Amino acid sequence: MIELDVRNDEAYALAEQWYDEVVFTKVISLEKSPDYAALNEELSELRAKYKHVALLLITKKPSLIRELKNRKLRALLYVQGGNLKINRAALEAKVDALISPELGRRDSGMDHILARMAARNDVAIGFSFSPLLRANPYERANMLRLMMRNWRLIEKYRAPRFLTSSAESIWEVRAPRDLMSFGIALGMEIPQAKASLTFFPQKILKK
Amino acid sequence: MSARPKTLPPTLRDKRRYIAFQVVGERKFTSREIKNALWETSLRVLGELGTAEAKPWFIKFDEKSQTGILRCDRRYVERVRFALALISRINDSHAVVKTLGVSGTIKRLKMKFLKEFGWK
Repeated sequence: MIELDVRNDEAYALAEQWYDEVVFTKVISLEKSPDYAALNEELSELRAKYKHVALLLITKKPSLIRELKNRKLRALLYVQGGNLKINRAALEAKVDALISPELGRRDSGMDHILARMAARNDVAIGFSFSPLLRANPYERANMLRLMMRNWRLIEKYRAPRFLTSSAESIWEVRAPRDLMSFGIALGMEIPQAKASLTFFPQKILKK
Repeated sequence: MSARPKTLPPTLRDKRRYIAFQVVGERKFTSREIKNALWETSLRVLGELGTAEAKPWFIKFDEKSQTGILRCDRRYVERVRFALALISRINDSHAVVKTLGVSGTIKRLKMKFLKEFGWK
């Protein structure tokens, strides 16, 4: 079992007990090009501390995604979805993963074209659990609705996908079996839910 | 004549599963708090109709090791698990519920999953 997105030190420690492999994610919110020397230094520090490191990019500029991708930073590159242009740019730039493309939207942020592109470009789509914990029941119902819709697209076009807790604090980490039940609630079969915690994350880590 | 209906034949009984769970929290929780949290989350996530179908039932909670057992219908195990995963606070203290395993009988459940927590 592999957890691909943990954003906090304490949460990492807890997740390490429950999972075989855990990826620590550093969140960066960018509006213009970052200072690459400083970023590289920080990443190498994180790499010394954690086994796997990823970079979660939150941005409004599609060009920044391409820029970071071409820089060949020695870390996995995730993009936070939510903006249609960003979703598309992330899939076109072939980043490692696009996390919750429906976040903060009133539609699912994906259509059949994007889903097919994700499958072709081998970009994984991440379903994250922690936004559900922070939402009120109305928002939660809507998020689940959109995630179910995305799941149907992803299943049809066989895009790579994974389940993650996206924990920003220790209280948002969930055990692998519980994340599987989250996937099953979205409409996955049990083997599919298992594959999105084992097979697909492994493929990403091997890249 | 006895006051209660006769025990149903096995084929007509509810098919149950027992879930063992562990609570990781800021502080230790009492049995009563866990029971309320279970009902609250079940009603919130599954709704009244869903709860009626899933038939969750609180069995036991060991306050020392913070582990417990609950019962539900065998077709709705995953639903109940999802409801448990959506617990983030119990009485305004942070908590995470981790399911340890599912079994058809309490005896096997204790043997398989709860032995290490000191259950008999």
